Amino acid sequence: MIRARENPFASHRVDALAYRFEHGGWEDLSARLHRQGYRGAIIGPYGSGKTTLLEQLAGRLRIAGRESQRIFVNAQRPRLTASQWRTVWRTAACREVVLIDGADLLPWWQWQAVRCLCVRSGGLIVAAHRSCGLPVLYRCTSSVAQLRQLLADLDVPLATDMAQLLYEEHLGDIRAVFRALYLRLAAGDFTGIAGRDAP
Amino acid sequence: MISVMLEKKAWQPKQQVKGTVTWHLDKPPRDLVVRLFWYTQGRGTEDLEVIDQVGVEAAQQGQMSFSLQLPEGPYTFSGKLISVIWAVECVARPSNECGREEFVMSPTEKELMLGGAA
Repeated sequence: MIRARENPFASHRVDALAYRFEHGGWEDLSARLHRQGYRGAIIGPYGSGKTTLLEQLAGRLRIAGRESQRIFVNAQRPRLTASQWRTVWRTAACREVVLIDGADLLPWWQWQAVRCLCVRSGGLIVAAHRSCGLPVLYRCTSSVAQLRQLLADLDVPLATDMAQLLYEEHLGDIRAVFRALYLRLAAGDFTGIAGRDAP
Repeated sequence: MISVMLEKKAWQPKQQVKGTVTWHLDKPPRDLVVRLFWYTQGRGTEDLEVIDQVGVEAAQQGQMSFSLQLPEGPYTFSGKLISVIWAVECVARPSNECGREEFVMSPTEKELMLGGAA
């Protein structure tokens, strides 16, 4: 077994992975953002990299001189808290960019209120499973090739058939594949991982 | 460049973590702070708690000794799902330039292993 911190699929390692575009790249995305006045949606299915892309976009906006605030909405708490409302209000008032991860989970009235509040903000960019009425900036997709690339980035080369099998088993949700691999390695199961022997 | 040097790599609960921070920055920071904290790594969301901190003279370069109070826990440990790691870091604002040194905090001065983690 390996220490949690040394597991190649530990959150801090997975979160540090650079987003790998299936089509286009940062320049295309930046040009589209500029054209759309920094308003739009990053859409895609579960585990296709929407959150990663939104997070890395925030970093790039900061480097470009645009401050932003990120708000996370999830299925366990599918509405904005009072503190998140304040963040939206303050960010919009400061003409900064509001980033909402999981905007499609918000109740209809909250989403409309956010859009109204953000009319005069520096931008409104969401990551969601659907566009929420905003122009689509990028469609995240996943593939076995992308999974294999990310595994290589993590220095965990999986056997080809194993990557394919896991990808299909988890319906293309790469984050779910990583979670499953975390548990397998934590249990000392190194089956299918090239060049690694169980300790 | 910011570097944190600790007098030793392992400490016991309630001891004072002692060390020295040395910094040489491109421009004078707005503030410079030394923090004692623990954080988690592993599966799921990371947790972090700052236990003690001390301000440092916000000069472009310098060296300062520090002493920070450890609490009773949590001990440094690793299991299958989570590791708790202790560290001292020095951060300059607004550049966020940072130097960090990890250490072990437990009664035996060794990382505790849970559930057969090795």
